[in-house]
Amino acid sequence: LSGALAIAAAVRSGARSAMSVAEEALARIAALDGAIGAVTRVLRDRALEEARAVDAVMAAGGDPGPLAGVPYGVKDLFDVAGWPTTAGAAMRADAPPAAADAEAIRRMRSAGAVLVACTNMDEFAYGFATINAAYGTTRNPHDLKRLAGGSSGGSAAMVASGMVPLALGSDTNGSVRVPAALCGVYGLKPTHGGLPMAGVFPFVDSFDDIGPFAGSVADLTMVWQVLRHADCTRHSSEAWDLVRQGRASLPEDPSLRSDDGVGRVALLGGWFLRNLSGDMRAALDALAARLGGIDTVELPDVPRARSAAYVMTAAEGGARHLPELRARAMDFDPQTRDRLIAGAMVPTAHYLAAQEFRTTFRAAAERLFERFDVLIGPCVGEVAPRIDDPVVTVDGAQVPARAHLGMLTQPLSFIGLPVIAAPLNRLGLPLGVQLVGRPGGEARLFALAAKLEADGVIGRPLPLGQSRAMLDG
Amino acid sequence: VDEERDLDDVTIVAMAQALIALDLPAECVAGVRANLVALAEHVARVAG
Repeated sequence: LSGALAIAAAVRSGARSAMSVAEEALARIAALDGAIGAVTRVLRDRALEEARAVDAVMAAGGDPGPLAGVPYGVKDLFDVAGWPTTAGAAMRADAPPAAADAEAIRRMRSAGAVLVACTNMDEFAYGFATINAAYGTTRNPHDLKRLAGGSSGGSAAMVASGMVPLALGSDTNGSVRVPAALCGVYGLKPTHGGLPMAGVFPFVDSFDDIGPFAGSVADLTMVWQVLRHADCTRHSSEAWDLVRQGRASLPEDPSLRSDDGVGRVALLGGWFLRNLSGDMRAALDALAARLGGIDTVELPDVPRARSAAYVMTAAEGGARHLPELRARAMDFDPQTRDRLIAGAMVPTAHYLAAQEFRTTFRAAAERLFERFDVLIGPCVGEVAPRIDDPVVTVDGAQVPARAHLGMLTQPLSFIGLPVIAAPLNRLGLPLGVQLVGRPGGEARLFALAAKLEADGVIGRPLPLGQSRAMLDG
Repeated sequence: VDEERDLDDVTIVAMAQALIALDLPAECVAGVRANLVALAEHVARVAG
Protein backbone atom coordinates (compact mmCIF):
# COMPACT_ATOMS: atom_id res chain seq x y z
CA LEU A 1 0.00 0.00 0.00
CA SER A 2 1.16 3.53 -0.64
CA GLY A 3 -0.16 6.86 0.58
CA ALA A 4 -3.84 7.67 0.77
CA LEU A 5 -3.78 10.11 -2.12
CA ALA A 6 -1.90 7.73 -4.38
CA ILE A 7 -4.43 4.98 -3.65
CA ALA A 8 -7.36 7.31 -4.22
CA ALA A 9 -5.84 8.54 -7.49
CA ALA A 10 -5.40 4.97 -8.69
CA VAL A 11 -8.95 4.04 -7.78
CA ARG A 12 -10.44 7.23 -9.22
CA SER A 13 -8.58 6.68 -12.49
CA GLY A 14 -9.65 3.06 -12.73
CA ALA A 15 -6.06 1.81 -12.47
CA ARG A 16 -6.95 -0.16 -9.33
CA SER A 17 -10.16 -1.46 -7.87
CA ALA A 18 -11.13 -0.55 -4.33
CA MET A 19 -11.70 -4.26 -3.74
CA SER A 20 -8.07 -5.12 -4.52
CA VAL A 21 -6.86 -2.34 -2.20
CA ALA A 22 -9.10 -3.58 0.63
CA GLU A 23 -7.94 -7.16 0.20
CA GLU A 24 -4.33 -6.01 0.29
CA ALA A 25 -4.91 -4.05 3.49
CA LEU A 26 -6.60 -7.05 5.11
CA ALA A 27 -3.67 -9.24 4.07
CA ARG A 28 -1.21 -6.77 5.57
CA ILE A 29 -3.10 -6.77 8.85
CA ALA A 30 -3.02 -10.57 8.89
CA ALA A 31 0.70 -10.58 8.19
CA LEU A 32 1.85 -7.77 10.49
CA ASP A 33 -0.52 -7.37 13.40
CA GLY A 34 0.42 -10.52 15.27
CA ALA A 35 3.69 -8.89 16.24
CA ILE A 36 2.36 -5.37 16.76
CA GLY A 37 -1.04 -5.73 18.42
CA ALA A 38 -2.58 -2.62 16.91
CA VAL A 39 -5.90 -4.13 15.85
CA THR A 40 -8.69 -5.25 18.17
CA ARG A 41 -11.26 -6.11 15.51
CA VAL A 42 -10.87 -6.78 11.80
CA LEU A 43 -13.95 -5.61 9.88
CA ARG A 44 -13.46 -7.84 6.86
CA ASP A 45 -17.06 -8.11 5.67
CA ARG A 46 -17.71 -4.42 6.10
CA ALA A 47 -14.46 -3.48 4.32
CA LEU A 48 -15.26 -5.62 1.30
CA GLU A 49 -18.83 -4.29 1.17
CA GLU A 50 -17.61 -0.68 1.27
CA ALA A 51 -14.96 -1.37 -1.37
CA ARG A 52 -17.56 -3.04 -3.58
CA ALA A 53 -19.75 0.07 -3.28
CA VAL A 54 -16.86 2.33 -4.37
CA ASP A 55 -16.19 0.12 -7.38
CA ALA A 56 -19.89 0.21 -8.26
CA VAL A 57 -19.88 4.02 -8.25
CA MET A 58 -16.85 3.99 -10.55
CA ALA A 59 -18.50 1.45 -12.84
CA ALA A 60 -21.55 3.70 -13.08
CA GLY A 61 -19.39 6.69 -14.03
CA GLY A 62 -19.88 8.52 -10.72
CA ASP A 63 -17.48 10.32 -8.38
CA PRO A 64 -16.52 7.88 -5.61
CA GLY A 65 -15.11 10.67 -3.41
CA PRO A 66 -11.71 12.14 -2.63
CA LEU A 67 -10.63 9.13 -0.55
CA ALA A 68 -11.94 6.51 -2.95
CA GLY A 69 -10.91 3.06 -1.84
CA VAL A 70 -8.51 4.26 0.88
CA PRO A 71 -8.46 1.75 3.76
CA TYR A 72 -8.33 3.08 7.32
CA GLY A 73 -8.69 2.05 10.96
CA VAL A 74 -10.51 3.70 13.86
CA LYS A 75 -9.75 3.72 17.57
CA ASP A 76 -12.25 1.48 19.29
CA LEU A 77 -14.15 4.40 20.79
CA PHE A 78 -15.83 5.40 17.53
CA ASP A 79 -19.27 3.88 17.07
CA VAL A 80 -19.22 1.32 14.26
CA ALA A 81 -22.72 0.23 13.32
CA GLY A 82 -23.47 -3.30 14.45
CA TRP A 83 -20.58 -3.58 16.91
CA PRO A 84 -20.14 -2.71 20.58
CA THR A 85 -17.99 0.36 21.20
CA THR A 86 -15.56 -1.01 23.76
CA ALA A 87 -13.49 2.15 24.43
CA GLY A 88 -10.77 -0.37 25.22
CA ALA A 89 -12.69 -1.81 28.16
CA ALA A 90 -13.27 -5.54 28.52
CA MET A 91 -16.44 -4.78 30.48
CA ARG A 92 -17.93 -3.22 27.33
CA ALA A 93 -17.21 -6.16 25.04
CA ASP A 94 -20.86 -7.23 25.41
CA ALA A 95 -22.32 -3.71 25.30
CA PRO A 96 -25.25 -3.23 22.90
CA PRO A 97 -24.02 -2.80 19.32
CA ALA A 98 -23.94 0.74 17.97
CA ALA A 99 -27.06 1.59 15.99
CA ALA A 100 -25.17 3.84 13.57
CA ASP A 101 -21.66 4.88 12.63
CA ALA A 102 -19.99 7.81 14.35
CA GLU A 103 -20.36 11.00 12.31
CA ALA A 104 -16.64 10.98 11.44
CA ILE A 105 -16.96 7.47 10.00
CA ARG A 106 -20.03 8.52 8.04
CA ARG A 107 -18.02 11.35 6.50
CA MET A 108 -15.10 9.05 5.67
CA ARG A 109 -17.47 6.59 4.04
CA SER A 110 -19.15 9.28 1.97
CA ALA A 111 -15.66 10.30 0.80
CA GLY A 112 -15.08 6.76 -0.43
CA ALA A 113 -12.78 5.56 2.38
CA VAL A 114 -13.01 1.91 3.44
CA LEU A 115 -13.04 0.99 7.14
CA VAL A 116 -11.01 -2.16 7.77
CA ALA A 117 -10.36 -2.37 11.52
CA CYS A 118 -10.87 -1.08 15.05
CA THR A 119 -7.70 -0.32 16.97
CA ASN A 120 -6.25 -0.74 20.44
CA MET A 121 -6.13 1.97 23.10
CA ASP A 122 -5.66 2.57 26.81
CA GLU A 123 -8.86 1.69 28.61
CA PHE A 124 -11.33 4.59 28.33
CA ALA A 125 -8.49 6.61 26.71
CA TYR A 126 -6.91 7.24 30.13
CA GLY A 127 -3.21 6.85 29.42
CA PHE A 128 -0.36 7.70 27.07
CA ALA A 129 0.93 4.17 26.58
CA THR A 130 -1.64 1.78 25.01
CA ILE A 131 -1.00 -0.75 27.73
CA ASN A 132 -4.32 -2.53 28.01
CA ALA A 133 -5.01 -5.32 30.49
CA ALA A 134 -7.62 -6.94 28.22
CA TYR A 135 -6.40 -6.26 24.69
CA GLY A 136 -2.66 -6.23 25.27
CA THR A 137 0.09 -3.69 24.73
CA THR A 138 0.51 -2.21 21.27
CA ARG A 139 4.13 -2.46 20.18
CA ASN A 140 6.02 0.21 18.32
CA PRO A 141 6.59 -0.81 14.67
CA HIS A 142 10.06 0.81 14.83
CA ASP A 143 11.13 -1.38 17.76
CA LEU A 144 8.78 -4.07 19.00
CA LYS A 145 10.32 -3.86 22.47
CA ARG A 146 9.05 -0.30 22.84
CA LEU A 147 5.71 1.38 23.45
CA ALA A 148 3.66 2.81 20.61
CA GLY A 149 2.37 5.56 22.90
CA GLY A 150 -1.27 6.26 23.54
CA SER A 151 -4.01 6.35 24.07
CA SER A 152 -4.56 6.04 20.29
CA GLY A 153 -1.54 3.75 19.94
CA GLY A 154 -3.24 1.14 17.78
CA SER A 155 -4.22 3.73 15.16
CA ALA A 156 -0.70 5.21 15.05
CA ALA A 157 0.93 1.79 14.82
CA MET A 158 -1.36 0.73 11.96
CA VAL A 159 -0.21 3.71 9.90
CA ALA A 160 3.44 3.46 10.94
CA SER A 161 3.62 -0.22 9.98
CA GLY A 162 1.96 0.35 6.60
CA MET A 163 -1.18 -1.70 7.32
CA VAL A 164 -3.25 1.32 6.31
CA PRO A 165 -2.36 4.85 5.14
CA LEU A 166 -4.88 6.58 7.43
CA ALA A 167 -6.41 6.06 10.85
CA LEU A 168 -8.59 7.99 13.27
CA GLY A 169 -7.95 8.48 16.97
CA SER A 170 -8.90 10.86 19.73
CA ASP A 171 -6.84 13.38 21.66
CA THR A 172 -7.79 14.66 25.09
CA ASN A 173 -4.37 15.48 26.51
CA GLY A 174 -2.10 14.21 23.73
CA SER A 175 -3.56 10.86 22.71
CA VAL A 176 -3.05 11.52 19.01
CA ARG A 177 0.16 13.54 19.30
CA VAL A 178 2.09 11.24 21.65
CA PRO A 179 1.67 8.02 19.61
CA ALA A 180 2.20 9.97 16.37
CA ALA A 181 5.57 11.16 17.70
CA LEU A 182 6.67 7.79 19.05
CA CYS A 183 5.58 5.90 15.92
CA GLY A 184 6.91 8.45 13.41
CA VAL A 185 3.69 9.48 11.68
CA TYR A 186 1.69 12.69 11.35
CA GLY A 187 -1.23 13.42 13.65
CA LEU A 188 -3.69 16.26 13.99
CA LYS A 189 -5.38 17.53 17.13
CA PRO A 190 -7.83 20.10 15.79
CA THR A 191 -9.05 23.25 17.46
CA HIS A 192 -11.27 22.02 20.28
CA GLY A 193 -14.68 21.22 18.84
CA GLY A 194 -13.46 21.50 15.26
CA LEU A 195 -14.29 17.95 14.20
CA PRO A 196 -17.47 15.96 14.85
CA MET A 197 -17.68 14.11 18.17
CA ALA A 198 -21.09 12.48 17.61
CA GLY A 199 -20.81 8.75 18.18
CA VAL A 200 -17.45 8.97 19.95
CA PHE A 201 -17.21 7.47 23.46
CA PRO A 202 -16.38 10.46 25.70
CA PHE A 203 -13.59 10.81 28.24
CA VAL A 204 -13.25 14.49 29.27
CA ASP A 205 -15.68 16.82 27.53
CA SER A 206 -13.53 19.86 28.28
CA PHE A 207 -10.69 18.59 26.11
CA ASP A 208 -11.90 15.68 23.94
CA ASP A 209 -11.29 15.91 20.19
CA ILE A 210 -10.93 13.40 17.41
CA GLY A 211 -8.00 13.53 15.03
CA PRO A 212 -6.45 11.67 12.09
CA PHE A 213 -3.08 9.95 11.58
CA ALA A 214 -1.39 9.91 8.19
CA GLY A 215 1.97 9.28 6.54
CA SER A 216 2.33 12.63 4.76
CA VAL A 217 1.17 16.22 5.06
CA ALA A 218 -0.88 15.89 1.88
CA ASP A 219 -2.69 12.82 3.22
CA LEU A 220 -3.32 14.54 6.55
CA THR A 221 -4.66 17.59 4.73
CA MET A 222 -7.08 15.53 2.70
CA VAL A 223 -8.50 13.58 5.62
CA TRP A 224 -8.93 16.82 7.55
CA GLN A 225 -10.80 18.31 4.59
CA VAL A 226 -13.07 15.28 4.55
CA LEU A 227 -13.73 15.24 8.29
CA ARG A 228 -14.55 18.93 8.59
CA HIS A 229 -17.28 18.94 5.95
CA ALA A 230 -20.62 17.28 6.62
CA ASP A 231 -21.09 16.67 2.91
CA CYS A 232 -17.78 15.34 1.64
CA THR A 233 -18.88 14.67 -1.90
CA ARG A 234 -19.84 18.31 -2.38
CA HIS A 235 -16.24 19.27 -1.64
CA SER A 236 -14.58 16.35 -3.39
CA SER A 237 -13.32 18.24 -6.42
CA GLU A 238 -12.22 21.26 -4.42
CA ALA A 239 -10.29 19.17 -1.91
CA TRP A 240 -8.71 17.05 -4.58
CA ASP A 241 -7.64 20.09 -6.62
CA LEU A 242 -6.06 21.70 -3.58
CA VAL A 243 -3.95 18.73 -2.68
CA ARG A 244 -3.04 17.93 -6.29
CA GLN A 245 -1.70 21.46 -6.66
CA GLY A 246 0.41 20.98 -3.53
CA ARG A 247 -1.53 23.69 -1.77
CA ALA A 248 -2.04 22.43 1.72
CA SER A 249 -3.52 25.70 2.91
CA LEU A 250 -7.15 26.55 2.60
CA PRO A 251 -8.38 29.24 0.25
CA GLU A 252 -11.12 30.47 2.55
CA ASP A 253 -8.66 31.70 5.20
CA PRO A 254 -8.03 35.35 4.22
CA SER A 255 -5.03 35.65 6.55
CA LEU A 256 -3.05 33.41 4.21
CA ARG A 257 -3.41 35.64 1.18
CA SER A 258 -0.94 38.25 2.41
CA ASP A 259 2.14 36.06 2.78
CA ASP A 260 3.55 32.63 2.04
CA GLY A 261 1.02 31.02 4.34
CA VAL A 262 3.61 30.03 6.91
CA GLY A 263 3.44 33.29 8.86
CA ARG A 264 5.50 34.22 11.91
CA VAL A 265 7.06 31.22 13.63
CA ALA A 266 8.74 30.86 17.04
CA LEU A 267 10.18 28.08 19.16
CA LEU A 268 8.54 27.33 22.51
CA GLY A 269 11.07 27.62 25.34
CA GLY A 270 10.95 27.12 29.10
CA TRP A 271 9.01 24.01 30.08
CA PHE A 272 9.14 22.74 26.51
CA LEU A 273 12.95 22.65 26.46
CA ARG A 274 13.35 20.86 29.80
CA ASN A 275 13.67 17.09 30.04
CA LEU A 276 14.69 16.65 26.42
CA SER A 277 17.10 14.03 25.12
CA GLY A 278 20.22 15.31 23.38
CA ASP A 279 18.84 14.15 20.05
CA MET A 280 15.61 16.08 20.50
CA ARG A 281 17.38 19.24 21.60
CA ALA A 282 19.74 19.04 18.62
CA ALA A 283 16.82 18.45 16.25
CA LEU A 284 14.97 21.49 17.55
CA ASP A 285 18.09 23.65 17.17
CA ALA A 286 18.51 22.40 13.61
CA LEU A 287 14.87 23.05 12.83
CA ALA A 288 15.09 26.60 14.21
CA ALA A 289 18.21 27.25 12.16
CA ARG A 290 16.48 25.92 9.05
CA LEU A 291 13.72 28.46 9.56
CA GLY A 292 16.24 31.28 9.66
CA GLY A 293 17.00 31.51 13.35
CA ILE A 294 13.54 31.95 14.82
CA ASP A 295 12.88 33.48 18.24
CA THR A 296 12.47 31.35 21.34
CA VAL A 297 9.45 32.48 23.31
CA GLU A 298 8.02 31.43 26.62
CA LEU A 299 4.42 30.70 27.47
CA PRO A 300 4.11 31.59 31.17
CA ASP A 301 2.94 29.13 33.83
CA VAL A 302 3.07 26.01 31.63
CA PRO A 303 3.72 23.59 34.54
CA ARG A 304 0.68 25.02 36.28
CA ALA A 305 -1.36 24.56 33.11
CA ARG A 306 -0.25 20.97 32.84
CA SER A 307 -1.26 20.39 36.45
CA ALA A 308 -4.62 22.06 35.92
CA ALA A 309 -5.26 19.83 32.90
CA TYR A 310 -4.24 16.82 34.98
CA VAL A 311 -6.69 17.72 37.76
CA MET A 312 -9.59 18.48 35.41
CA THR A 313 -8.98 15.26 33.49
CA ALA A 314 -8.95 13.19 36.66
CA ALA A 315 -12.05 14.87 38.06
CA GLU A 316 -14.15 14.75 34.90
CA GLY A 317 -13.03 11.24 33.99
CA GLY A 318 -13.67 10.00 37.51
CA ALA A 319 -17.10 11.60 37.67
CA ARG A 320 -18.08 10.08 34.31
CA HIS A 321 -17.20 6.55 35.37
CA LEU A 322 -18.28 6.74 39.01
CA PRO A 323 -21.57 4.82 38.56
CA GLU A 324 -19.70 1.91 36.95
CA LEU A 325 -16.97 2.09 39.58
CA ARG A 326 -19.59 1.76 42.31
CA ALA A 327 -21.23 -1.15 40.51
CA ARG A 328 -18.21 -3.17 39.38
CA ALA A 329 -14.85 -1.59 40.13
CA MET A 330 -13.04 -4.90 39.76
CA ASP A 331 -14.05 -5.17 36.10
CA PHE A 332 -11.90 -2.14 35.18
CA ASP A 333 -8.29 -2.32 34.07
CA PRO A 334 -6.55 -1.89 37.47
CA GLN A 335 -4.35 0.95 36.20
CA THR A 336 -7.35 2.89 34.93
CA ARG A 337 -9.59 2.06 37.87
CA ASP A 338 -7.31 3.46 40.54
CA ARG A 339 -6.73 6.69 38.59
CA LEU A 340 -10.46 7.15 38.00
CA ILE A 341 -11.35 6.52 41.65
CA ALA A 342 -8.77 9.05 42.83
CA GLY A 343 -10.06 11.52 40.25
CA ALA A 344 -13.63 11.10 41.40
CA MET A 345 -12.46 12.07 44.89
CA VAL A 346 -11.12 15.49 43.78
CA PRO A 347 -13.15 18.15 45.59
CA THR A 348 -15.13 20.49 43.36
CA ALA A 349 -13.21 23.51 44.67
CA HIS A 350 -9.98 22.13 43.20
CA TYR A 351 -11.67 21.37 39.89
CA LEU A 352 -13.04 24.90 39.70
CA ALA A 353 -9.63 26.38 40.58
CA ALA A 354 -8.10 24.48 37.67
CA GLN A 355 -10.87 25.62 35.38
CA GLU A 356 -10.44 29.23 36.49
CA PHE A 357 -6.72 29.10 35.79
CA ARG A 358 -7.50 27.99 32.25
CA THR A 359 -8.97 31.41 31.51
CA THR A 360 -5.75 33.09 32.64
CA PHE A 361 -3.56 30.72 30.70
CA ARG A 362 -5.63 31.09 27.55
CA ALA A 363 -5.30 34.87 27.74
CA ALA A 364 -1.50 34.53 27.97
CA ALA A 365 -1.50 32.31 24.89
CA GLU A 366 -3.68 34.77 23.02
CA ARG A 367 -1.14 37.51 23.72
CA LEU A 368 1.64 35.32 22.34
CA PHE A 369 -0.37 34.63 19.19
CA GLU A 370 -0.65 38.37 18.59
CA ARG A 371 3.08 38.22 17.75
CA PHE A 372 3.31 34.76 16.19
CA ASP A 373 1.20 32.50 13.99
CA VAL A 374 2.81 29.15 14.73
CA LEU A 375 4.75 27.94 17.75
CA ILE A 376 7.01 24.90 17.55
CA GLY A 377 7.87 22.59 20.41
CA PRO A 378 8.73 18.97 21.08
CA CYS A 379 5.95 16.42 21.23
CA VAL A 380 7.66 13.96 23.55
CA GLY A 381 11.10 14.70 24.94
CA GLU A 382 12.66 11.36 24.14
CA VAL A 383 12.17 8.24 22.03
CA ALA A 384 9.58 5.58 22.89
CA PRO A 385 10.11 3.96 26.31
CA ARG A 386 10.77 0.25 26.56
CA ILE A 387 7.76 -1.93 27.29
CA ASP A 388 9.61 -3.77 30.04
CA ASP A 389 10.52 -0.47 31.72
CA PRO A 390 7.70 1.97 30.84
CA VAL A 391 9.07 5.12 32.43
CA VAL A 392 10.15 8.59 31.33
CA THR A 393 12.58 10.95 33.01
CA VAL A 394 11.16 14.13 34.54
CA ASP A 395 13.57 16.42 36.39
CA GLY A 396 15.90 13.50 37.01
CA ALA A 397 13.24 11.15 38.37
CA GLN A 398 11.86 8.07 36.62
CA VAL A 399 8.05 8.35 36.46
CA PRO A 400 5.37 6.17 34.81
CA ALA A 401 5.11 6.67 31.06
CA ARG A 402 1.37 6.00 31.16
CA ALA A 403 0.75 9.25 33.06
CA HIS A 404 3.65 11.43 31.96
CA LEU A 405 4.38 10.88 28.24
CA GLY A 406 1.97 13.73 27.55
CA MET A 407 3.60 16.35 29.73
CA LEU A 408 4.46 18.47 26.66
CA THR A 409 1.14 17.97 24.87
CA GLN A 410 -1.20 18.42 27.83
CA PRO A 411 -0.75 22.19 28.35
CA LEU A 412 -1.71 22.92 24.74
CA SER A 413 -4.91 20.90 24.51
CA PHE A 414 -5.78 22.41 27.90
CA ILE A 415 -6.72 25.59 26.02
CA GLY A 416 -8.00 23.91 22.87
CA LEU A 417 -5.22 24.92 20.48
CA PRO A 418 -4.84 23.10 17.15
CA VAL A 419 -1.64 21.10 16.81
CA ILE A 420 -0.02 19.04 14.07
CA ALA A 421 2.33 16.39 15.41
CA ALA A 422 5.02 15.92 12.79
CA PRO A 423 7.76 13.28 12.66
CA LEU A 424 11.33 14.53 12.40
CA ASN A 425 13.10 13.22 9.33
CA ARG A 426 15.94 11.38 11.00
CA LEU A 427 17.64 8.02 11.34
CA GLY A 428 16.93 5.99 14.45
CA LEU A 429 13.83 5.82 16.59
CA PRO A 430 11.18 8.46 15.83
CA LEU A 431 10.95 11.85 17.48
CA GLY A 432 8.16 14.32 16.80
CA VAL A 433 7.48 18.02 17.06
CA GLN A 434 4.29 19.96 17.67
CA LEU A 435 3.28 22.77 15.31
CA VAL A 436 0.87 24.83 17.41
CA GLY A 437 -1.61 27.38 16.11
CA ARG A 438 -4.18 29.79 17.44
CA PRO A 439 -7.77 28.50 17.61
CA GLY A 440 -9.00 28.05 14.05
CA GLY A 441 -5.45 28.40 12.75
CA GLU A 442 -5.06 24.96 11.20
CA ALA A 443 -4.33 26.38 7.74
CA ARG A 444 -1.10 27.95 9.00
CA LEU A 445 -0.06 24.63 10.49
CA PHE A 446 -0.65 22.75 7.26
CA ALA A 447 1.25 25.41 5.31
CA LEU A 448 4.28 25.22 7.63
CA ALA A 449 4.17 21.43 7.73
CA ALA A 450 4.13 21.30 3.92
CA LYS A 451 7.16 23.61 3.78
CA LEU A 452 9.11 21.65 6.40
CA GLU A 453 8.30 18.38 4.66
CA ALA A 454 9.38 19.77 1.30
CA ASP A 455 12.62 20.94 2.91
CA GLY A 456 13.25 17.46 4.31
CA VAL A 457 13.09 18.60 7.95
CA ILE A 458 10.06 16.50 8.79
CA GLY A 459 8.88 13.30 7.16
CA ARG A 460 7.82 9.81 7.99
CA PRO A 461 10.73 7.57 8.99
CA LEU A 462 10.56 3.94 7.94
CA PRO A 463 10.15 1.19 10.52
CA LEU A 464 13.39 -0.66 11.13
CA GLY A 465 13.91 -3.47 8.66
CA GLN A 466 11.53 -1.96 6.11
CA SER A 467 12.50 -0.27 2.90
CA ARG A 468 10.37 2.29 1.12
CA ALA A 469 9.65 -0.35 -1.51
CA MET A 470 8.29 -2.71 1.15
CA LEU A 471 6.11 0.01 2.63
CA ASP A 472 4.81 1.04 -0.76
CA GLY A 473 4.18 -2.52 -1.88
CA VAL B 1 5.28 2.67 60.50
CA ASP B 2 2.95 -0.24 59.83
CA GLU B 3 0.34 1.31 62.09
CA GLU B 4 0.57 4.55 60.15
CA ARG B 5 0.21 2.66 56.88
CA ASP B 6 -2.81 0.77 58.22
CA LEU B 7 -4.31 4.04 59.38
CA ASP B 8 -3.76 5.49 55.91
CA ASP B 9 -5.62 2.57 54.38
CA VAL B 10 -8.52 3.08 56.74
CA THR B 11 -8.55 6.77 56.01
CA ILE B 12 -8.55 6.25 52.27
CA VAL B 13 -11.38 3.74 52.45
CA ALA B 14 -13.36 6.14 54.65
CA MET B 15 -12.68 9.03 52.28
CA ALA B 16 -13.91 7.01 49.32
CA GLN B 17 -17.09 6.17 51.19
CA ALA B 18 -17.66 9.70 52.44
CA LEU B 19 -16.77 11.59 49.26
CA ILE B 20 -18.09 9.38 46.50
CA ALA B 21 -20.13 6.65 48.21
CA LEU B 22 -17.77 3.99 46.93
CA ASP B 23 -16.94 0.87 48.92
CA LEU B 24 -13.28 0.77 48.02
CA PRO B 25 -12.05 -2.79 47.41
CA ALA B 26 -8.86 -3.64 49.27
CA GLU B 27 -7.04 -4.25 45.97
CA CYS B 28 -7.53 -0.61 45.02
CA VAL B 29 -6.19 1.08 48.15
CA ALA B 30 -2.51 1.25 47.22
CA GLY B 31 -3.19 2.46 43.68
CA VAL B 32 -5.73 5.04 44.79
CA ARG B 33 -3.32 6.30 47.45
CA ALA B 34 -0.55 6.75 44.88
CA ASN B 35 -2.88 8.60 42.55
CA LEU B 36 -4.18 10.84 45.34
CA VAL B 37 -0.60 11.77 46.22
CA ALA B 38 0.06 12.68 42.58
CA LEU B 39 -3.17 14.66 42.37
CA ALA B 40 -2.34 16.54 45.58
CA GLU B 41 0.92 17.71 44.00
CA HIS B 42 -0.92 18.97 40.94
CA VAL B 43 -3.62 20.63 43.03
CA ALA B 44 -0.93 22.44 45.03
CA ARG B 45 0.73 23.65 41.83
CA VAL B 46 -2.57 24.96 40.49
CA ALA B 47 -3.09 26.83 43.74
CA GLY B 48 0.28 28.46 43.20
